[in-house]
Amino acid sequence: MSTLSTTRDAGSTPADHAADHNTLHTAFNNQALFLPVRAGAISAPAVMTAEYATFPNAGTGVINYGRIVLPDDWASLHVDILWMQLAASAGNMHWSLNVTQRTKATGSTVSNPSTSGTVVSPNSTTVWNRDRIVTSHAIDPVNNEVQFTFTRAGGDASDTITTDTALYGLLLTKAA
Amino acid sequence: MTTLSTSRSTTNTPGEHVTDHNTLHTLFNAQAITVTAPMMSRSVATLSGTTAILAPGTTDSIGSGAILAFPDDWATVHVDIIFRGDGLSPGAFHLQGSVQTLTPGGAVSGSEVNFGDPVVVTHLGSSIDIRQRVMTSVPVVAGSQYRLKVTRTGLHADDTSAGNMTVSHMVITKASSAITVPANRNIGNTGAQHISDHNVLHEAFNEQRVVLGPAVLFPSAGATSTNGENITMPNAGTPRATGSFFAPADWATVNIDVQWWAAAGAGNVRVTLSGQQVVDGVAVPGVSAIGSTTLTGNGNLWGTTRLATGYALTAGAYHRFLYLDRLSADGLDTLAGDVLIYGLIITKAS
Repeated sequence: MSTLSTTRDAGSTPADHAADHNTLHTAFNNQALFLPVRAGAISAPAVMTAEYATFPNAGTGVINYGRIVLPDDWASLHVDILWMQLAASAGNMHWSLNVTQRTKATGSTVSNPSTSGTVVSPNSTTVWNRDRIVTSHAIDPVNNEVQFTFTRAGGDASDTITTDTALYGLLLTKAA
Repeated sequence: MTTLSTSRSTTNTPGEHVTDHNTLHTLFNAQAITVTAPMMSRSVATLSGTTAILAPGTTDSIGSGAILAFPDDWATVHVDIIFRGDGLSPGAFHLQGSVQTLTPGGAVSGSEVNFGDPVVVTHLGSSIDIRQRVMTSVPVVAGSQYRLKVTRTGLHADDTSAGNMTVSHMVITKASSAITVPANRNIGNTGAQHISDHNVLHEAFNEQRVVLGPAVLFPSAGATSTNGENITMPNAGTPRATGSFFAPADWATVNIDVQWWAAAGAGNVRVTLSGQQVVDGVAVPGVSAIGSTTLTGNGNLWGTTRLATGYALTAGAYHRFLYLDRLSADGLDTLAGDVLIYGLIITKAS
């Protein structure tokens, strides 16, 4: 529990103030943004199913999020995916993520890197997965309008599970 | 990079503390809410991918989606939109901002009221964004809630573009605060000034809240949603709205309120709220009851009703689902017609 006193006065001790600082600073450093799939545009063969998007085992499903403006103090971020399997199957899921950074003034593209990889399935329909797919991606604080496009390539050779998957969203965490 | 030390002690210098203060104060004063197009409410306007399309020759509007419950210290807000035009149809768009104020227990009268003068802006084609302020210094009051809209008046003589207006964002910026903290403190400031700053920041830290608007509530079991305005729960079966949220690590418990409106008829609505909290790599737990209540129908009034007080967030869980059901067959559910659900307000309680 980290509720802070709102009645500090001149009688509060330096230790009281130091504790307050550290609580606030911890919260400041741990900022995060959750992008639910319903905030994005789903492209077939992926479909919005319920509160998640289904990415089929066959084909390449895509979700394209609208551009968001990150807080000005963010210098880099981590990207996690929140997902589950819709049927049991051992192996890996192949993903790719495009991070388009634009200027706030004109919308023109500043950088447009893509990265890809795999995450290991738990071979279970009841286990929830949070997997970090991008670590410490640098953000230019002057041009911090960012757009994320997530893809599962079910037909990629490294996508070895044989089941549909459910994506709930992306979790962005301030890294620095 | 502005990461703050979390190991301050009584031996740190005043200069170090002052730097920390000013960093936090700057952010406190510059808070903003960004609504991307898929989250917006839309009247006539259509959603295309990640943008909302406002057509020529008609009256189209886009709205903030969620009925916004601003932090208590916000006193006024600016409303900007970010948009592009049609490269083959040069000209201008005629824009009008509007505001609907909703107070719990107050009458829901009409719709939005125009705020300020119209804005006419010439677009720069289909590849260049324009960020345009449409409303300046809209007053907001703690305890009230707001729907903010921007309308393209395509039939107005000043709306000279024959093409679509493509909106990607609405940006709502805190313009002034009931309690602003200076961002230029130095070691010459008095202890009393610093203490005042502390208490303002601490209050804001304690009062954080998240609104899950209709765009991120999934309707099922007979519930439906139209244009991101609300979720309609009919008087039949057990219609459901599902939402999910991410809570900051320092949140221990939350209070949960539902925003609702029974547009016609009198009577009560019986609802129940249940939840599910998930942990990475662990089997998803069953859905557990959080609470139930009766929304007391009182005609055409705006409702904001507490569903849960001090709902404990499971340590180690990082994502939570909420399920809001209407129990239309319950004997206490006496409203014959639909109830409209506008959102869930999740407020940090501890």
